[in-house]
Amino acid sequence: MEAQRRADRIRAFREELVELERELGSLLPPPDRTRAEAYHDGLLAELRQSHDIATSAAEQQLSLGMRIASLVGTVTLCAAVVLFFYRYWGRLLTPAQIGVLTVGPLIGLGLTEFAAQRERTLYFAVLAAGVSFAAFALALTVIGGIYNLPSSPVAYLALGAFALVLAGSYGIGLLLVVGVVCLTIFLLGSLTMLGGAWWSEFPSLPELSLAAGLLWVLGAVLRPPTRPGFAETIAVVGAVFAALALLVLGLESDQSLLPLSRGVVEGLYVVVGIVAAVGGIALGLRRQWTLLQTGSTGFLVLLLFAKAFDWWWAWMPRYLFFLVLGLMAVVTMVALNRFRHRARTAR
Amino acid sequence: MRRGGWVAVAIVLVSIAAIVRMGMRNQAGGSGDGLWLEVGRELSVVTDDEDNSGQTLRFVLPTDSSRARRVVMPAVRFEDVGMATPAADSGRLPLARAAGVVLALDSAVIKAGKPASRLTVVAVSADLAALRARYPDARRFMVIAAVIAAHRDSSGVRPVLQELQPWVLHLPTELPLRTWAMVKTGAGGIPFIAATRR
Repeated sequence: MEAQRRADRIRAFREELVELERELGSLLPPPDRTRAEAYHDGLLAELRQSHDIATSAAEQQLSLGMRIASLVGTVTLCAAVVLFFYRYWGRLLTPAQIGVLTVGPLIGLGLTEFAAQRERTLYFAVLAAGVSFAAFALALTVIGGIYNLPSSPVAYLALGAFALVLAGSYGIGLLLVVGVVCLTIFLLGSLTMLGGAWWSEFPSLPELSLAAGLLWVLGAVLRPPTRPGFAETIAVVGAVFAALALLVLGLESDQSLLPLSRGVVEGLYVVVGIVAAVGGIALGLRRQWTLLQTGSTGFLVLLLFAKAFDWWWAWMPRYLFFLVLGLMAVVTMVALNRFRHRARTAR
Repeated sequence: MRRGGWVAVAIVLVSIAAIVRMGMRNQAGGSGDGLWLEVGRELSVVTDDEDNSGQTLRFVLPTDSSRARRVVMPAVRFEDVGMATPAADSGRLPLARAAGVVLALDSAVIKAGKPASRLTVVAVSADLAALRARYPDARRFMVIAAVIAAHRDSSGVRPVLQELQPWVLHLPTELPLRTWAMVKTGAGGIPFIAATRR
């Protein structure tokens, strides 16, 4: 990621230099220019060698295509593994079923390591790691089914740990997302069970999801992982959990554990939602976490529009309703513009 | 292989070993006897279709005539299943929670000779251990874990059976599918198919 960014900067520098020199004439003395070009050529060759980066626009487009193909391949191969096993498992005796289910994820791990040693871009390693994860999830589900075991959140602990270990070892962002989601489900399910309810009832306790989501964001800020991009990914997944919980709480106060009246609870969570969204935008700007910043903006707009619909749709004339929405959009734009100016001034 | 890869291998092996051990220990102990249920009547068969070559047997319990087709069960108070009784005007219902149910073959249905499932819920309680102590005869009663939820309909709010844990029993490939299947409850309170006969 960092190597690709450096290569992008070199390409942008070269393009801008050509543009500048066309408008202003020659800027760099020929010896300096030759030195800079030689240095950049060497650096690009080195980065291409060590990280298999894309050094031209065409290569970058192909890389994006490779990433999409890798994602689609992961999903479809996972489906193939799961369906293939289900198609033939009834012909195996129980020990053979368990043997096949155990070997599946291990083969996937072997393939992941094999691919990671041979390619620097990790497209195939991502694919193999995804298949390994699917095989492990299949193993836990099917072996639980063989012994008729009741469903439990502990399976998500194993899946989450597996995904996070693979994500950390090979730098796979997709598995980081899966791992964080699985661990969050484990945490929420366990807390729900401790409270006396059935573990899968946790979606009915959005305040737990809100707390878990904010904890992930806090963790990403206070103890960011060393791998580039991982802190942002964790913060975004945490923010999604928190945002969904705030949307539910802001619109449906019956779901809240707070012993307050409906209006107070909904109003409180709308305010918390606005504060959280503004906090997400500020954090995204400060840390240059674009996805968090964009997502927080989207959430703020969605929350305000949903709440406006809840409050005014039934009694307000339609033209007035849409006028108010339009004005809210303008206010949001003004606020964001202010943010932008502040960021520019700070720079 | 890098260290993380070995850790992932360990997670796979430990997790699978833990599940297999739990399952085997459950089936090794428990009641010596079990409840014989008729396949196609108290147990419906899901077997060898296009996408799944395994065989599973699903408990069939009589349901009421409501739209939601709730499982018929004896009248239970919320406190019997560990739930707080919801206020009549409260929008929030208590969350579903784990409980135990006792299943038995209903002699009235047997006598009437109806073709329906004879397997009925005879008791429900939050205390699974107490149910086991109260219904020790494994040839007549099956005590298994369940999830009880609060349900609101025109007659008010009442506890209903949301799901059995498990609803579906795996039929091992080693056992041939026959007319009758004996369901035993293991040491861990988990039911499993121990035998089949014509």
